[in-house]
Amino acid sequence: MSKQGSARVSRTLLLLFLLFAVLPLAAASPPYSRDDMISKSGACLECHQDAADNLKGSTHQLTMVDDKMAKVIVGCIGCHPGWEKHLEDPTKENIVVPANLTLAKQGQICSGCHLNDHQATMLTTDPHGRAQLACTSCHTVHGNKARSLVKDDKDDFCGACHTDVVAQFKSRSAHPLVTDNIRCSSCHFPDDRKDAALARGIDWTCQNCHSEYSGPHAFEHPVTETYSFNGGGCTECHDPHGSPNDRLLAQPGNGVCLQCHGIPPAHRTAHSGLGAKVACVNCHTDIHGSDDNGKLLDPQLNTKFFADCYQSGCHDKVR
Amino acid sequence: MRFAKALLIVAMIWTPMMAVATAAGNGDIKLGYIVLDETGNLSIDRATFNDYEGASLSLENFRYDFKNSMLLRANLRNMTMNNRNLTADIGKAGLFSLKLSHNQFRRIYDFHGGSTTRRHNEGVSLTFHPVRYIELFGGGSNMGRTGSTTDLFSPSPVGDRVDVDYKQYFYNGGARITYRGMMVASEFRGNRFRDNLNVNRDQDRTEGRLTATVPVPRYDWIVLQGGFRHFATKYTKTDFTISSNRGWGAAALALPKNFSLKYYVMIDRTSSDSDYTATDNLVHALYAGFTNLRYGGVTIGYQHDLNDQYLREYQGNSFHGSGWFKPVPRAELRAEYGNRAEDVKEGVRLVGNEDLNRFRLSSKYRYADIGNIAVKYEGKVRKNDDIGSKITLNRATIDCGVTLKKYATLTAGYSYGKGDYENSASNFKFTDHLLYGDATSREYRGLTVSAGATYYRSKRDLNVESFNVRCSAAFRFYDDMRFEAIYNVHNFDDFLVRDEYYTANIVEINLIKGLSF
Repeated sequence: MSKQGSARVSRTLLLLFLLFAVLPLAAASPPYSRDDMISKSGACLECHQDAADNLKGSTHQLTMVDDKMAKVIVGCIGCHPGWEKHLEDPTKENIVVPANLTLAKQGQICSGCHLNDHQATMLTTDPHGRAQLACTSCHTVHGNKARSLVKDDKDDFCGACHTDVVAQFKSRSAHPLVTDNIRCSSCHFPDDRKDAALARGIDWTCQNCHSEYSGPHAFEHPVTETYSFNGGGCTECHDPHGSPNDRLLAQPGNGVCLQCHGIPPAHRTAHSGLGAKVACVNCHTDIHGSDDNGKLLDPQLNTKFFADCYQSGCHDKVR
Repeated sequence: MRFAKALLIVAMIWTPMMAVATAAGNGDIKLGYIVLDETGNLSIDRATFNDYEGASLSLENFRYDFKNSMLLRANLRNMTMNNRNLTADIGKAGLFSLKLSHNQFRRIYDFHGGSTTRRHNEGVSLTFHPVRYIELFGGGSNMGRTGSTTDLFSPSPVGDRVDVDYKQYFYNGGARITYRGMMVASEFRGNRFRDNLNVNRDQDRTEGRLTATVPVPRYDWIVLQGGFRHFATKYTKTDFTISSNRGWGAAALALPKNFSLKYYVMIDRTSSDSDYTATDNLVHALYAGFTNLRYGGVTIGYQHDLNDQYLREYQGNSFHGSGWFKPVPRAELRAEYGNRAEDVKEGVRLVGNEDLNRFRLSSKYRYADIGNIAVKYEGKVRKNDDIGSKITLNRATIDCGVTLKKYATLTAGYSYGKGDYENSASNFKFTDHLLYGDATSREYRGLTVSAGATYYRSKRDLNVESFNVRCSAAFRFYDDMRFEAIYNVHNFDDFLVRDEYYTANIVEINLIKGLSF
């Protein structure tokens, strides 16, 4: 870490401190009382009984109609601001329909009850929000009994928009999405503002299921621990959605290695022309990290099929 | 462990059965039998890795609404099979929720299926609201994998087997306070990895995090967010530890006339027991947007980031532009472009400087009450002059869905993918074609039929073909009974590699009893 870098860190910490300093000042107006929510929403049903009917059986079913033992009080006025004016003059212009609002304004309404990392992130760093998608782009309230009120409660819900990703999952090798052993949300969940692809951060996403490959190792393969905010790590070599090659590899054979590495001159001759007959990982077996040597070579190399690797003097210094 | 699994299965079955005995709900009980006829290399068609022959019992789409507004849901698929996939949850909005899950997955690695691994995962999560604005949450999971894999690059003609036997335990707990747009949450996560074959791999990971979101008082068009995270991974055999501390903050401004402004900053220091591996990351990003709900929206953004460790420092500059446009209410056009340049400022790194470009174009048209058609094109270019590599990936997809209310539902799509990888020594090129379609008839006198197919072809440096043809018929009788027959053909051929062929005929017969009470 250079002095210049330390100064940047200090400036950023100061900025963060100032940012957090204003947090305790927050105090918002209180929500509607139970009595208000029930009595004032009741007036809406004189004209909008159909809305009450299509909420029946969903998590937003109206407390005063269908859910009198509910712990959370749900009423029309909680989601539709402007109701006071609408009661006096019942025109469309005098009532707010959240689906007709931008994300920021929908967020103000929905987050009155729903606020966890997902909703919070949507308002700031989530790419969906950045693309001007709002809560109602994926969720509908009226007439929907699906889990989380998503518009289409199918396994490939995300695929409705991400058709290109769906196609990748039908490649030669892919994660078992089709068998429902994993879902999109197993890897993509906006609770970590680390990278642009919404992933939980390379330190959790892949390791959640593949810890056997994760470090720390005494000798790391640097690409597996790129502490970068823009991908890197496992995805440098593997295409997580699907690949035409086995084991989700981006390229077959030595192609993956040659993305970053040239072929050392000695390898071109000593190993019968690397790339044609010998795979890099035949010798560099500990490609995800080694506890034995910095070249990520197989610790048992000298007792396996290349008995002379060390004895010949070529590799005796790499250990 | 077997006892715990049995207990979980019994609990999942027993709970809905109790509900059946005491009140109303709906769902499907399915009794089925699967016949599997496979020839060829069992390790190459991933779609059938987890299929087993035999009798299956399932409870699907079960839902029960208690009178006190509690809700119970369950999806218990193939309870009697080794590919069982069970999920169940019970809860009451605003009070609690409890979710249980268990699933198993088999992966085959050699021609005859002698080298396989089986992965199982059991999970539980619980949330509880002692008072309306406070949520306590926690949970855990137990994952294990046993069996043997085959070394993909082994020079041996039969491949080298690598035994696998490990377990991974995950647990978390935390609290969240929310009040009218304000949230403060803290969480602890832990993860223990234990390898029964190599204790050198055993490791513990822990994470603590604190996050907050708050609209500024009297200026609720400004939302501030921030958080802190500590993360550590420890190698239990040697106590070697890597830890990371990260702070972040964000501000979102909903400006007048539907303009918006977003800014976020992140700082992260990751270090190990050895000082020389400390790495700092710093990110600043700013996005400005405008939305007109009728006609469209546009966003532009810039990100500057820095990665600094003792060997080198590089800086990244990224630009982002995206927008959508609705010429008519039923049509939507979207475009996105991103550019990133990474420059090494101090020292050297293996891949030197790098440029990345990415763009997406998509359009969608929705026909009134009939369906929609979408066209999407995505491209990525990654270029590195220092090591003479260039990666170009392009993918175009057409996807359409049509519902002819009187007769059937149709979905079809085509995807074309093209990849070109070049480096100083070699190159790899492929072209993928994927064609798929399904048709399901409307129920006529109790009978529903469906048919579909997926065809995949990969060419140029590869020569792979695979397809899946599927058809099914379901007949409803006695109102709540259904008989279902499903036939699937899977075929795979790699014309360049010997023994890379596979064909499977799978017949599934189900008797389904609809529950409604």
